[in-house]
Amino acid sequence: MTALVHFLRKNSLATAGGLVLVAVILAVIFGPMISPYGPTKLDVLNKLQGPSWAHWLGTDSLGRDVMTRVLHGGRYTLAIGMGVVSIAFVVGVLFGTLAGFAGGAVDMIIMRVVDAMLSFPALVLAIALAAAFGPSLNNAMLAVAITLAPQFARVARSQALAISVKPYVEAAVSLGLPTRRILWRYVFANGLGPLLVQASLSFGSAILQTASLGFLGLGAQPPLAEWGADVSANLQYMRESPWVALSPGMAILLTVLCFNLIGDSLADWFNPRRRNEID
Amino acid sequence: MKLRNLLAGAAIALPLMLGSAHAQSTDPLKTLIVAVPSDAVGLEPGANKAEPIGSEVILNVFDTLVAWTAPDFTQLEGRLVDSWTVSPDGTEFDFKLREGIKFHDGTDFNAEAVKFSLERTKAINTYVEATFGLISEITAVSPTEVKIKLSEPYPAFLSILAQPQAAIVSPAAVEQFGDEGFATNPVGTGPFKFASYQADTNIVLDANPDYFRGAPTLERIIYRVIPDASTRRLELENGGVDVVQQQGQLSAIAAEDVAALEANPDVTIIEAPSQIIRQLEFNNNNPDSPVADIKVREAIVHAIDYDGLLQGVFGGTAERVYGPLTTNSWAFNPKMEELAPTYDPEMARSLLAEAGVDPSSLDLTLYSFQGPLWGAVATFVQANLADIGINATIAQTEFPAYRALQTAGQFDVALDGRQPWYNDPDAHITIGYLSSLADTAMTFRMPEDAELDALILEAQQTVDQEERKQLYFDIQEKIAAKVPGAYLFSPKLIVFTRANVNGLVINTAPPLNEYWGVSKE
Repeated sequence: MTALVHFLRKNSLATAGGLVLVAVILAVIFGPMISPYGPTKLDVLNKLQGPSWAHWLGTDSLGRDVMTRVLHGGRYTLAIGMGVVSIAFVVGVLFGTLAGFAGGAVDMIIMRVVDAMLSFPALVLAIALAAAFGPSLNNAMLAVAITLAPQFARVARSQALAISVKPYVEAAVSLGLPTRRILWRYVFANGLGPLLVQASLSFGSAILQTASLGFLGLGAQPPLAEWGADVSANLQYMRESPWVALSPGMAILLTVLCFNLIGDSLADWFNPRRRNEID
Repeated sequence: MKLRNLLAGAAIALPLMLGSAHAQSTDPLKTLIVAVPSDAVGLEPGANKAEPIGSEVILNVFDTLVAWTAPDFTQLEGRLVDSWTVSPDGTEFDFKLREGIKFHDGTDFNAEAVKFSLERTKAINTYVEATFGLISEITAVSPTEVKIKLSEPYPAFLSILAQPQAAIVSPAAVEQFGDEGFATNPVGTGPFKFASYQADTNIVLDANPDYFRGAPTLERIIYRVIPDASTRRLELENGGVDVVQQQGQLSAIAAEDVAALEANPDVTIIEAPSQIIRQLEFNNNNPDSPVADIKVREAIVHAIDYDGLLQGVFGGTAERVYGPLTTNSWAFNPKMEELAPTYDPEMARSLLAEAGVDPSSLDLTLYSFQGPLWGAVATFVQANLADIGINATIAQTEFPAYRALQTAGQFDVALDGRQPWYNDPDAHITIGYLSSLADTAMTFRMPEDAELDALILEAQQTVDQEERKQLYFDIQEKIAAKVPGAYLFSPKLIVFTRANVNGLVINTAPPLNEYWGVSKE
């Protein structure tokens, strides 16, 4: 706890990002409960209304309350971020740690696959995968997770390589502890820091990429209030009713920015050379 | 020395003079710039697959034997022909050609050219196989007389001859460029000559001063490919383009554009009813599907708020459809207006109860095309279904995959539509409802009904127009009674032009503009 307080005191940007993120999380949890509108409730007679007391962010082309949709969309977006990063984390760390610890042919095979995947621009790979799986939110999440996993594998492998030659690991091996236990208790646990940095940075890309797939029609299907899909659906009204597309767009920007601020600060914090400068 | 100076002066002056002559021919008031959303595909009849932009170029560069007449496009007139007669059994067509017409390359238009063109399209254009396949023989009786024989009666055949695929090409030019090369060097008899084509950028047509109906007022038409809708609108508002084509209405809703441009004195909005029908269709060919029960289908068609859709989503840019034909078809049965389902959620719920179906047990996937227009329509329909307790999940699907799952019958409810290209009920009815075609892409999936099929084929082949009309009246009622789908809306054709563009009349079927009579001031 004191470490966290110390970290936050030394990193004002991370603190700002964290505070805004907490506000976003509270808003998306409680906002929809308070809102008098449903996210998919149509009211075509009141379409494309400007911001007002009744509709804080106006209404969209089918008369749905934009504020309500953005708040609902936030639930999906945060869940998407969590889901995608969790899948990428588990898969990437599993293979990365295995590669780093086992070495030899196993390392060779796993890392060449990882290299091959990293050689594609992430979004292009995600588009190809999402198109192949068929458009749905779950498939889009899976596609993004697959493109993010190699980065976790890279970090996990380098951690495993560094840690597996440490005396305490050698001691554990010589004591005859089972490999699974060594990997979990010593290699993974001691390499967690950089992986957490990677996770917090990936949150932003996960949200952004899934929103991009939604924007391209390869992710969330209407009438789901996913931010990317909402930006895309309302782009055609940009000139007369900019708030409809801008609101979910700004929400994406704000959330991704928060995660990136926290991630960057964490990266500095776990980097010994930079940390000295911070302290 | 003097001579050299003189020559040098001439060498400079001559290109300048030519340049000014060139500038004159591209006087802005004589040049019409048309913004189109995508590149043209197939600039000649043999390669044309009803893609709208290439088709419109064809109708301006070539002529067809007959053509629909403005303003309502319900009557055919002779274009390259003076007159024609049809044999009583409807299988023989005799055409008397206009004389003295020349192709842009200077060769003569004659009966041999007609025979050559139609036989060529029949041989190389698979897209029109179903209709051109009916042609059994074309004879050039004399240089100005052509006889076309069909293997079976087909009264809508004249409509087929008005389509871009039936335009008459210069045989000499086809020989010169080859079938492939002709697509980028089209030569016809039309009011405009093909000048240049740059893929994904522009197509330039120049006036044909020797056009047989009189030289066009415009000297040049430039089609500019502008994929982004808001860029097209900006260009129109700034005067960068003169015409924005209507294809946008097929994938995006024009209501906001109409509202925004209505107040602009520099822009004219031309609207015309179309014969396009967009519907929610049922797969009642599958006995396991919940919509195989006619009561469920009736419940769904009564659950849809048709007027809400037209006003709320389309803001008056679409019209109500009452049955298998649009109200502007010559074969539309006025009784359909009474027979059409009304929005009545109470009735829908009680119909479901009668059918013994618990709506919450229905979990339908509502297939839809991609794009904002279909997304909005799907969302609206889904909300209507939710009101009567039916849960539907929208799946916006890519076009090829969508067609594949439709032909395979792997759906319960799907949004679909048809845009007929000729002004004949045959265009909607035969392909849409002939149940023996149910496994092809565009046909409503209903259980086979030999009686209805026989009636449809009879109507297709009956020569007498009044008799045909009565048959189609009967067919419309019979089809509606089977509830093959919910007819949602018919989008209007909307063209935006600069206010100084005169004489543009929108053709409704096919929705292609002819620029011969257009001028700018």
